[in-house]
Amino acid sequence: MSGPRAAARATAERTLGGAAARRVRLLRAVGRERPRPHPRIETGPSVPVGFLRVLQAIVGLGCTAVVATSDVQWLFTVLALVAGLVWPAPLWLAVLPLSWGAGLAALPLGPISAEAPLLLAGLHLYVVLGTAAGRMPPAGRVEWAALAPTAVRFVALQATAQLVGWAAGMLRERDVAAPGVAIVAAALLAAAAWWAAGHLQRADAGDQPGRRPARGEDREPNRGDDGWSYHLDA
Amino acid sequence: MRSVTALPTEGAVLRAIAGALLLIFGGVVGRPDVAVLGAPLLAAAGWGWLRRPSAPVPRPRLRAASGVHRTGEVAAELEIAAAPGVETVRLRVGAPGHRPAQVVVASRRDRTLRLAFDTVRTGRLDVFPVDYAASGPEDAARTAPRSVPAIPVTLLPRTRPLRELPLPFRLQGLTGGHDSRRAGDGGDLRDVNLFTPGDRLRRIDWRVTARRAGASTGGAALTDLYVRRTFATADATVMLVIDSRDEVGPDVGSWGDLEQPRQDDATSLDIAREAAASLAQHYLERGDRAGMEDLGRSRAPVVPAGGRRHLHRLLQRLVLAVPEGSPARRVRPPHLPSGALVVLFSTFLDDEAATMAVLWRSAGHRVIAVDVLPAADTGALQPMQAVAFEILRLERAERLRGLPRSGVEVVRWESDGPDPEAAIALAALARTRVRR
Repeated sequence: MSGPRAAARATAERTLGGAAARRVRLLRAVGRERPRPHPRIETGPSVPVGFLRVLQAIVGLGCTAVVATSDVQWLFTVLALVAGLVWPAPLWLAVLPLSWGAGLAALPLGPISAEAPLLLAGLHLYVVLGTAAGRMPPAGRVEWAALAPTAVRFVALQATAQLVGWAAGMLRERDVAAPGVAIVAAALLAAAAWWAAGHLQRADAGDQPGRRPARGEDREPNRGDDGWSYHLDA
Repeated sequence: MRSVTALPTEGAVLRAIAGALLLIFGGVVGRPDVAVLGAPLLAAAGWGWLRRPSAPVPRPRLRAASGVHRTGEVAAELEIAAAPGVETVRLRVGAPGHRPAQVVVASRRDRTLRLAFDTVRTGRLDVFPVDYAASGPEDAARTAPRSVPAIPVTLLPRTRPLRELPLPFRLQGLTGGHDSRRAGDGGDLRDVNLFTPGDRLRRIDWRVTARRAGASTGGAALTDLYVRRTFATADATVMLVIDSRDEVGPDVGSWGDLEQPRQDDATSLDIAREAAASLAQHYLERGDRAGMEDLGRSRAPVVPAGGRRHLHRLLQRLVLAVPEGSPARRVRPPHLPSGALVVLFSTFLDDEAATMAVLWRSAGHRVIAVDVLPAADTGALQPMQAVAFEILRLERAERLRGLPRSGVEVVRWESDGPDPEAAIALAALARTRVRR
């Protein structure tokens, strides 16, 4: 290409239209590119993580439908669910249950209602599904055999919690106050905070702080956003 | 075997805090139905922490899969040992040219997982680097992610059946599968000649001898003996010359060093390996001798020899033929055995391979140039790249057109599917009478 023509081409590339054309070409090239496949891992029967996420979002919408009284609550839930789908962080598994608990408290319900047991089951299922999906990509898979113990625990905990909830409702119906619940819960929270602070500090420091792994030894990598990372000097 | 211990997860801590807050909130506002919402979260986190992995978690072992696998599949086995408190193991498995696959598998007992991927590539690959993290119940505690190093595998090229292949101008050796022009022990009749010392008695043609005796002496005496002479058999010497200086795939955009060719696209070197292995197998099965030379390396060539073990030797050298840096430009062509058939496998993207072919041909060798450049995919090229490729393509086409003018025969070898065209072209060359 001659000098003036090259200069004209470079000028055209610098203009807005030229930049747009360059991006269009790039997008076309990306669209034409075939996705690279995954290696096969022959496990037992499994379910895709994307399915768990969609199921989790549906359960989340159902929980909101039980307690929502305003559009703001719906908007918050939808935003949180979408954010959870895009960036599946454990934070959403704590934020949305708290919002649903606040929503349930705002409802003028009687001691025995249908909403509370429904929300109890839905909230727990939402957390269990989110925990099972973890931070895996949608194409990842979870073995049914890995979900089975969780399902058993879910049923056992639900049976107990529903029974406790029904008993608490009956006590409330008879105007029996239970101020000890708040004290016990505060103590549990303090214990959980102490436990979490200590162990997170250990997690940040590593198993054996100050020890540098020898060459070729199994090393703990830096954690990335998805919980994985690579050794840079492998 | 180094092992790792489990630590609490961020999610478990957040779930426990949320459960406790719901309990407190429900107690404060006097709503037991709200307070009980936090009970499952707290109970699950507490249960998970109490039943967390209590002993160090052994590292999974990766080993090459046993047994025979179908062509194009690379497989390995990952052994996961059960550990107290470990309920699930999260795995991320990588492979060259593949996106990592992630799974969560149950690991309450020892188990073995089969890992596999399909490829059309050949050569040496480091496959299946595995990252793993073991979790306890409810994912309340998890080990830090660790890695299992990839294992090296060697993928030998496939061979295709060929019907007939060209032979060198001059056959060598005293025995073999081909008829030579020299008189000796063989099958086809060459001539009838007078008995000379060294001729075998069983080759005396008594009918001709009797007729000749009757003609010269009137049938009175037997003075000369005549023998039937046959063409001797001989074997061919074939030198397979690989041009491993470059390796390009069908995607022209990956011809630079920035992007690796895909695993489901055969590169020029994969095609060259397949073609060379097919020819080597065909020649060696017919009792000929085959050797190998690499234009990309200056190491000693594989000297021509025959036999099944030599075929394995050639295959090993073929898979080791990979581009290494910028090889020095050759001043003169590698020395090859005289009279050998030279089969050159190259992309002919530059002048060097074509120049070597012409020099070998001028030295008296029969030279067959096998074009192994994959069909180019130019769809994703930028305009300037497209222009550059067009120039390269025209130069290459001109180079390939010039080879027949120098007496070098050209054959194209495609990579996809059963390829009758290359076999037909080679069979046609086998029947072509070429001037020496």
